[in-house]
Amino acid sequence: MELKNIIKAQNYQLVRSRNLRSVVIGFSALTLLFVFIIHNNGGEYPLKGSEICSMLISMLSTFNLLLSAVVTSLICGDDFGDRAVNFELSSGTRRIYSFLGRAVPAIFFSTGAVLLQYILMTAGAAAVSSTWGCELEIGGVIQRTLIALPIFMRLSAFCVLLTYIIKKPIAVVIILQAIAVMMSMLADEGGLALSTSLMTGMTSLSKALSFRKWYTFALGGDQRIICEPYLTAGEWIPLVLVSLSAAAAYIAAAYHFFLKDDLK
Amino acid sequence: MVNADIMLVAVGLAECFMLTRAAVLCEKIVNNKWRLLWLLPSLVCILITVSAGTEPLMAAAYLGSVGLAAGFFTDERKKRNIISAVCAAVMLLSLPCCLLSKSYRKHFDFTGDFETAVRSMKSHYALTKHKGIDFDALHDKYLPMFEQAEKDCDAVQNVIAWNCFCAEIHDGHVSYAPNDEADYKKAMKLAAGNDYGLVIVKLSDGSFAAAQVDDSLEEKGIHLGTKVKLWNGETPDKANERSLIWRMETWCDADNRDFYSGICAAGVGGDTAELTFADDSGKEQTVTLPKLSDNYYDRLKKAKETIDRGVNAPHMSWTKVNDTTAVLRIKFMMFDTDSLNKDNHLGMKNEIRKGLLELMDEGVRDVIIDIRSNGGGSGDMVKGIASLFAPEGEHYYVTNALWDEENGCYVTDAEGNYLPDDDVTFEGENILGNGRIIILVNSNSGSASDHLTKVMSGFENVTVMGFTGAGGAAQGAYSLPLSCGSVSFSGSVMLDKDGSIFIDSGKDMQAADDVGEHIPFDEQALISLFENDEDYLLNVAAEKLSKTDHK
Repeated sequence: MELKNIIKAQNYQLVRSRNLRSVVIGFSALTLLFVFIIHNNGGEYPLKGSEICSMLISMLSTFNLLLSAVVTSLICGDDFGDRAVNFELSSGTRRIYSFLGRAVPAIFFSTGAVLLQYILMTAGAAAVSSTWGCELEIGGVIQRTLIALPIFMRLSAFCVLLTYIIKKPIAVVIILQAIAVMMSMLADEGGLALSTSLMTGMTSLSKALSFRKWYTFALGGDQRIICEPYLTAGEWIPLVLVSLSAAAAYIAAAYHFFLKDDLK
Repeated sequence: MVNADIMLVAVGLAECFMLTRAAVLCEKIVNNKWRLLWLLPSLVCILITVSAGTEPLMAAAYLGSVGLAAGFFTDERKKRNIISAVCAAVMLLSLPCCLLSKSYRKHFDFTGDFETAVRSMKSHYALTKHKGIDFDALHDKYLPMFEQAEKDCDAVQNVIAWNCFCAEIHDGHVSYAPNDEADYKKAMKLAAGNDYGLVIVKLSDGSFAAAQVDDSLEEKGIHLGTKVKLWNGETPDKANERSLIWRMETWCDADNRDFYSGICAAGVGGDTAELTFADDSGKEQTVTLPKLSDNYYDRLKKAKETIDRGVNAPHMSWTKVNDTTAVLRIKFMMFDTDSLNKDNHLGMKNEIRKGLLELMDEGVRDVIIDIRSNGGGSGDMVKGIASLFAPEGEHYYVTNALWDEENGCYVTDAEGNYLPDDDVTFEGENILGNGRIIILVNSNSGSASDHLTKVMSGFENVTVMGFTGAGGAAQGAYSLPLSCGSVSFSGSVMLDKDGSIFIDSGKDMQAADDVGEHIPFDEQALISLFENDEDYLLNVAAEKLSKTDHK
């Protein structure tokens, strides 16, 4: 009951939070802008919906990483700045409820915000172009997005851990971006073996949102690219299971840290 | 062990030691943030492993590094020390595992690659129906080879399996390239067999002769041109079938394959091989040849290079052969990136035209275009070259197959035949006037070279000449990256004017761009090539042109 009330209070606060609203609206506008720019980048022949999605789905993950970090760190970290957490604990709320009351909405809200971006990308691409085309099946976009959600939950859980340690949302965002840059330098995105792609959320994301492509061409004509839209069960099941397990481990670590924290 | 793995274990052990010291400090300095130290080993392990890649035999080291994170969840010094000690011991287990195992850092997903490639080819290979390929049967036949190679961690066996598989499709565009080129060379050397000091070549009259003969065989009466009757008791073409490297060769055209029949036979044998030959007096003799080395491949390669050589001149250069003939050497169908991307080979055409006009001012009237061993490239370059020499007017090149934009596939009729879309044509300039043109080809003249051969063979003043026809693979190729290499296959469909597949042979293994004039590979050719080191085909072509009437 206590936890339910805390979550309800958090949700009320989130929905009315101007900062969060601005962040989500800002990223959504950015997504639609990308869709529009890429559509017109085709030159004389604007790109089709599937072509836009195949280019954008992986590119968008970089921005969604940032979105997830910002939303999670704001939800979990804002209350440390104004000492709302301290007052909450002083008034008798148990640490587990205080923790879960923020961590759970943070993960679900940030994952929901990310999902919104992919929905906007797909709907925007379909709306702005006259035809969907054949480069990528819409079922493939849906499958890849659904596979990416547990991975974003893993990354969000990692942000929860960082936020409860550092307690400064801006620092969490900067650290996450630095890790993302370092990971992309270390790992070759195209040639990731499944075993290596499970190591971090970012490498898993790269595996989930990159496509094997094949192409044909006509002599004197354009090249046609067709993406293999679906990951096999052998590929996506380990990604999802490891992501959910890692998320649970991060949440456990974050809670344990918070449990012993003196909140200075 | 690789440096990254050694570093991981060494750093891990150092971390275990440092954390025992940190556990003591944490008791004195009570601060929650110190517990973060127990998360550092996991981070270090991830950083090292992501850059170096995972290795199953290092599982103990990974487990030990991540296991140190258990110290994060407890405050007791004793428990933390036990965790450090246990994790250090677990990490050390990885050392003997890696040092004693033959499969350390040799885990390859050969079967995964093969399955991926077959799945892709079943969906996207353009000539499945045309060539009558049963991918399921090929998959079942070759999967055991890949499974064995993976079990043995043998990259060389993987290359051999791939080449045998590709050869069954009879398409010059179907090939495998391993990530490590050295594996390819090792595979060829292994498959070619032992060197007994000679190569057996097939002459145009159906007999077999010795070539590329080692000096040590002279005392046995074997030299260049010696007639070979039997190899290990079999005719050379039969012995050839036993050669593994022969099974790995891809032939699109049966006549081309027949030309080289016998050439791999002289690598087949054990410590000795038996050769039956006719000596200089015509008497039949049988000798036992000892193995000179286990590397027949180098001798075989040298012999093939001698037969297949083109004019020794730079790419796209003109060389005067005699007062009235010049040769244009085209080693591959690529000029430069500007031609490819911007000016549609206008610059290339200007250069060729300029060079030829200067030669024509000097009295040259005939041209030899040498595309021997030209593996292909740009179809637009073919158009550019053909248009220079074609008679004035519009000429047909090829027809693109009809593509279904909505479904992302080629359109076929009820019988599975591709439907034609637009024709590709070009305008002729006839810069040579009433001069004659000979195009020199060999079985390695493939892809865009096949295109040039087919297109120009239709001109009245052009003769295609060679010991064999061109390669016979003309569809557009696609390269599929795999974990251990890449496989390429025909993915873009090109049709002829009548709607049939452009050039590529079907089940009959007869490519549609044969030579106009087969030059016999006889004793004269053999001596010219191997003893006198001459470009026999070029000489024949030049002589033919000098005797031709010019109307």
